[in-house]
Amino acid sequence: MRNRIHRRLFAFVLPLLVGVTACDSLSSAGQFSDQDSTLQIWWSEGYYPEETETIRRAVAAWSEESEIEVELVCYSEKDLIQQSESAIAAGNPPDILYGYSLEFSLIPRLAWNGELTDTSDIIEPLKPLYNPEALESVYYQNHKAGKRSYYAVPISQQTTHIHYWKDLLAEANLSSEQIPTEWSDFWSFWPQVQETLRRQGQADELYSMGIPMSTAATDTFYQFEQFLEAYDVKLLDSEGQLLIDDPQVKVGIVKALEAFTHFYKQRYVPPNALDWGDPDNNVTFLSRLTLMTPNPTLSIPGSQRQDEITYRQRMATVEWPHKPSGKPMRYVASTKQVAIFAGSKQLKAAKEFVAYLVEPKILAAYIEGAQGRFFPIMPELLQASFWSDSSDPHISVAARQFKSIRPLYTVLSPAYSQVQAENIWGQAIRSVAANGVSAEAAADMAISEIKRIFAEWK
Amino acid sequence: MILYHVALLLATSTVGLLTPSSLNGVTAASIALASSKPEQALSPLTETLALENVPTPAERPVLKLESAGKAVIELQRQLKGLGYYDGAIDGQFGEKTQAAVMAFQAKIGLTTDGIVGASTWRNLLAGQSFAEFTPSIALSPLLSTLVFERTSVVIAIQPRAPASAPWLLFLMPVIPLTGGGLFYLYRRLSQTYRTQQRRALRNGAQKPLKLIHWIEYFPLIGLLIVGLTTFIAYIYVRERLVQPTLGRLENAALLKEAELAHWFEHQRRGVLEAAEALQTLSHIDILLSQQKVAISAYQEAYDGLSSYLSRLNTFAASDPDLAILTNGGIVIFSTDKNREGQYQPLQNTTTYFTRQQADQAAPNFYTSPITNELLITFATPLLNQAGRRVGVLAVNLDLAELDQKIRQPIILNQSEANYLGETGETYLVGKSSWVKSEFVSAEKARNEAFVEGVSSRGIDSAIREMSGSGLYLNYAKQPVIGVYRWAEKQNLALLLEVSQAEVFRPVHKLTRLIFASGLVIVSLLSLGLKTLRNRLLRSSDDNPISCCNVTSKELPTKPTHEQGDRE
Repeated sequence: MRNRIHRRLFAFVLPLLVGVTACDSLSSAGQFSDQDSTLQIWWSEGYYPEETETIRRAVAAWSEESEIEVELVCYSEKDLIQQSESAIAAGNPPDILYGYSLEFSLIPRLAWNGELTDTSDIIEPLKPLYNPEALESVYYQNHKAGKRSYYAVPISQQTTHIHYWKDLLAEANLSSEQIPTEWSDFWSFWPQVQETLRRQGQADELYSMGIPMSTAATDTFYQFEQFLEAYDVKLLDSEGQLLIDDPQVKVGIVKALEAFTHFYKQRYVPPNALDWGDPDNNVTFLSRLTLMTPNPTLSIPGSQRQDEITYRQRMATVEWPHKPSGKPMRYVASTKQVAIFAGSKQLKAAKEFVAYLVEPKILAAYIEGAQGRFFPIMPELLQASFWSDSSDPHISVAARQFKSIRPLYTVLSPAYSQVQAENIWGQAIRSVAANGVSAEAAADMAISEIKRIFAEWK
Repeated sequence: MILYHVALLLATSTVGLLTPSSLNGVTAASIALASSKPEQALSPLTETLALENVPTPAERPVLKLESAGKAVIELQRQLKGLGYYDGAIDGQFGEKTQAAVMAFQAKIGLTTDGIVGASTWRNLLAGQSFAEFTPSIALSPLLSTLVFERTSVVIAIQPRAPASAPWLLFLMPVIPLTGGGLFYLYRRLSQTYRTQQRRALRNGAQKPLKLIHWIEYFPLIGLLIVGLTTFIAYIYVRERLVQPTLGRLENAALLKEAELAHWFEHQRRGVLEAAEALQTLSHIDILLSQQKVAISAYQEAYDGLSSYLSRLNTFAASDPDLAILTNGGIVIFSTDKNREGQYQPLQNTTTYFTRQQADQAAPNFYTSPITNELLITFATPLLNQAGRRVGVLAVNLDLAELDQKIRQPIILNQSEANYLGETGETYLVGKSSWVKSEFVSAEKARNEAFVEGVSSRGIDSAIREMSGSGLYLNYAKQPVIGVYRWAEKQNLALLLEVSQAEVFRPVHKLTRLIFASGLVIVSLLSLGLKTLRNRLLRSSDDNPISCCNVTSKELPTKPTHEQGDRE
């Protein structure tokens, strides 16, 4: 009886506790609770409240079920990276860490240094449910232990989508069907629309493309990786060895750099794209200051999901054009992953929570709750109407894109995570766009930096 | 440290011996000034500020008409500081005090009963009217008590880095070296004289006496002593000036941190109160309705809201931009008309919170990609009666006001200058992107000079969430003594700095005096001794045995080489 009262009391108090502390954007965890007895989870703050709310719900439900106290702290991405680095340096990281950009840079390094828990026991029972690319993406080399294993747990995936304003296109007397599917035609189509719209009286603030040229955005290198893929540039072989000494690789890099920065130099991209952070192409596009924007997640339609007219009628998503070679595009996909620190004092609880989160039913609710910003990595989840609705102008296009994907190079070599952490491609792009450096010189700079990083990563 | 004391003793005694009495007076006064610790100066590493010892609002007594005592004094001071009370601070809760309490309660929306309970105390103390607070100590007796009178302060400070040497420190050893060099020159120039001496010796003359021989070295020895004395005095006095300065900066940091926290607290409350007021308006429903409404009805609602917001004063002295957003983040109404139709993210760059989470929301500092302005945007949902979010209130905080508040000099009383000194500077820096830290300021010009962002040891450490203090080059590469704090809950770095040139002005003056006087004395003595030497030599030529009462035993029996011979 007493036990029941305790349970009821707990069931009442716990959601309150979670509710109060959930995603409170505190700069420092551990202020309210004893770190040793509370499960600490650090998570990326969403681009919109629904996204944050969905993880809060999952945490609250598990906490209630398991009777384990959880402190969920959400940070905007720029703060999360800083917070994580500081906490790791100070030796007090959280138990569980998730950030939408952490697998680009931090997680491969942590796995390499043996700072993450082996999550094979969580993944093994679910292996048949996952995409092979997702599993491949969390199969990291642990240099310290001298072994390769699963050091994170996949929860979703992303690739680059292209969104545009259908109604602005209509104002230029054009329709979605007229968007070319060949590479060069596709990229010259949008500038033409910009010229037409400006002639028709649209403000000079309207630019055709929202493409970041900045070192402050992960979007810059992510989109550039897609350009490298388009030009069939292969930087690493299947063993993770650099191929950049091959003259053909350099030729491809130069072509991709020229194509990427051409839009900026021709003033088809807003001037301040040189300093954009990740959310800024979203803001500019949704403020209708750009006609189209590539974006490495579905956060743009996701943010407008509650506005049916904008979501279904005014805005659209289009697949990338074919590669310059004429071959169909293959998309660079990145697997979103949750990591557990090896030094976690709540290791058992941390594993239990992550295992709970990736139960297909729970994971489905979490991803859908985020209004489709990230895509499922379990094929069976795609059966849900949310993902299979052919009338959805964005998800249906994304679903086609995810049929032809390849993972980021970090899967082949953890050293590449440092290339991304230092935003080497962002530096090269910005130098060409802002400083008038030739694409050739920028490519040389990037190649030499990549070689340096790979030489250091021994 | 013992070495320093010995050195200082040596330095002062040498200076005392060498300098005229007026100079000696200046030296002593300067050293005394440097050695004395101002009362406000605290030693942050060892002493503790028991902030928690200050009674909480709930612990303070309920005060009403005819109450008396210390608590009433505190109340009257607080009310006076906030401009509600202009009577005497007599500890008597009279009608005038009651009227002031009621005015305060009315202003912040409490029941105007004239009784000071926990809620009124809380608002009085926690800065409900903090927008009206200025860092003048007179205006905030509580803070002044905390910061300036208590001798126990706890600040999470990392072990202080050793005082880094400015360029002058490197220059100091040059002084004796220059002395040596000059002496060498002197020797070279006087070589002809020695050659003559040697010739004379070879011709059977007596060798010059040892005592006379040493006189030749006096300029070098003198210069060495002067150089060393100046150097040691400089180091010692400089060190004595650093500690009190850091103490002052740390005191000021406490004050500014409190001010910062209160400002944000006030903004949070302002946002929540504004949202609560707006939720009750029918205009909002019309504006946010997805359904089509008549243009006239929409315009009426728009105008109604506009007029309502112009009267809304939940932000006191702040002048933020308010915007009403749809659930998709589109601005449908704004006090800045340019924002209408634009997209404002509901989260991520925007600091979004509900009433329950408001206290924990750490402000996010960012650059608007539309206006390129540095912003902190607070946002909170607008709920309908069923508790569903129908829209969002987004407020671009008035960073100009915040910047002005933080930069405002600390004046302890009307007649005195900035507590931190003429060059004292207090400012905020935030991480505006992954790759850039910038001043928290609405003035674009302030950041424009720093295209790659602002950086200094203080800024970089604070941004990496480390608080501390030390001597370093500031963002403009000027040597400063600085205290830097990571304001965790505000997600910002607070810096308080004063120019080393200003702090060390007395020591520079002092060392210049010591050095110049020493130089003059050494020169005069050298000249005097040279004359004496020449006379002695002349007299020894005439009568070597009787010179200086030196006996023949002390005289060398055979000629020895002089140092100069080796050259």
